[in-house]
Amino acid sequence: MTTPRDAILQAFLAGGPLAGVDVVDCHSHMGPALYQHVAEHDADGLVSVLDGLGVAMACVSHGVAMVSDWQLGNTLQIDACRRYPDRIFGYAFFNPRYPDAMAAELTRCAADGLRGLKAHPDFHNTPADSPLYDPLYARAEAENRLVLCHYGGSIGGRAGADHWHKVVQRFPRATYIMAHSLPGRPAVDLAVELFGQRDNVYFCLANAFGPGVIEYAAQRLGVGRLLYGSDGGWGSMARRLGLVCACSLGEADKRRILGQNMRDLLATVA
Amino acid sequence: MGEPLPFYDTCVRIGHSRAPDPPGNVAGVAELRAEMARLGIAASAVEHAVAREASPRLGHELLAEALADEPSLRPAWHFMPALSDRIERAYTDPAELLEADVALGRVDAQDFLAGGGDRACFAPVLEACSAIRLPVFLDFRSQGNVGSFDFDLCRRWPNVPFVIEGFGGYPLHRVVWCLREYPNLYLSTVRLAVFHAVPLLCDLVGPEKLIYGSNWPAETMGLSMGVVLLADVDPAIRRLVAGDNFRRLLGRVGPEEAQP
Repeated sequence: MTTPRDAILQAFLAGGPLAGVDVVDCHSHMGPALYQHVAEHDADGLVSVLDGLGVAMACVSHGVAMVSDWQLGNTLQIDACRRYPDRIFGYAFFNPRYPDAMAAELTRCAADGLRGLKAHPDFHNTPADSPLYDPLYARAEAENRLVLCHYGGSIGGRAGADHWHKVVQRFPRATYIMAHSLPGRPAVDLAVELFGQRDNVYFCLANAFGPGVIEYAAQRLGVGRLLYGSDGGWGSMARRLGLVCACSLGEADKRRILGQNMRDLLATVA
Repeated sequence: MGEPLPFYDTCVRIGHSRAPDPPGNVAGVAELRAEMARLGIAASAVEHAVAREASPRLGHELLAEALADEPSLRPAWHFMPALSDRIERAYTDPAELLEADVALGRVDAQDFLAGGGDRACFAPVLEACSAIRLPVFLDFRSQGNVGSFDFDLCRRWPNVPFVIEGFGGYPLHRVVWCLREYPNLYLSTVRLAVFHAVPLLCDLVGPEKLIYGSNWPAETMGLSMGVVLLADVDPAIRRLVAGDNFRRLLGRVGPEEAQP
């Protein structure tokens, strides 16, 4: 017997876009990055892609900031957010290898409207819990900002779950999104173990590719902590939308994951 | 709402694989049929875990039993080199492939020696595929490097449609160049994580080059379906990618005298 299809699955199978569903992508990218060959990477291009998919808003960090000049990239991100304030939410990107510039850049980006912060320990060859990152986390706590954490999964590396666990312990009042953090059931179990009691830690589903992983995460972590994220620009927004639309959760849960949870989160941060 | 797309999934697997994720994720025909029904997949070419991981002939025997009386499911066979019958008899007889109604063949990209497999005992297998124009999928899902793979293989075997499978997105420039260079080279949607993939690739290489596959049950079917269903392109192009392109290749499979 076939399970009845909910409205979101029906709309997806009909080829979208997902009319009537507020879709907010918690983790995406824009801007060029040499080896990624990103198409439609400027603000106009990104918004045209969002329109085609029916995505209301993308929360974005800039490729130039990630792979090259972080301050120039943040400037480009600020420009994009100013052009499309209702469609593009900006994460300011921080490079701890420039410690003397951190405080001023944090202040500049906040003043210019980048409400999120992003840390990428792998790109900067700096463990997530290095004191070099402390100004970022301290600012996130003090100003109620959202931190998007490049999450390497499991234990070890520079962005492993153990490093982020230490960060959350030391800066417990900030709000965190662990990017592409639930690739399989063991990762869900680890997230429960390390962050289960921390309701200020959320999880981006950009790599929850295995069958049943989203459903398992919903059961163990709660639907309210799961966020649609695409890693778009560097990955496919459509692919990750399909991941959520075609999972076997009910329509109400899909709505929360696709956008409602992130809207609620954005409303609580500065 | 438009007509449902006639998806033909070229990459699904049944059987007990080495390391199912999550543990216990063992898929058989019943699970496959249920998921196809839930998501409206019309047909699939099915591989067997044992054929891919241990013995093609043993795996294909199991596959034949499992797919009996399943008209929407056709076998996808895994190929090994024609090295010695003392190891395992390779598939070098086109009649055997036709008799088993094989929809596609598959070689592991690394086992295929980065494109040089036909110079390392795979040539008799490719001769059989060439004789009946059987599509051969070059499997990069677990091993192999698209960047260094020698796709000039396509020039040496012009009657064989080759499909790159498991290309995540890098190096896109090389894949695009090769798809343009070789008329008999195609690209699967399996693991295709290129941003805005279908519109971009349709523009760069043409929609006829894209072949749908999901890599179920290792990955959920929804991933690759999203790449096609939500592509910002004409519905006719979605239809091509979803299944018509592969069905066109399937329509050419047959003995030489029967080919158009």
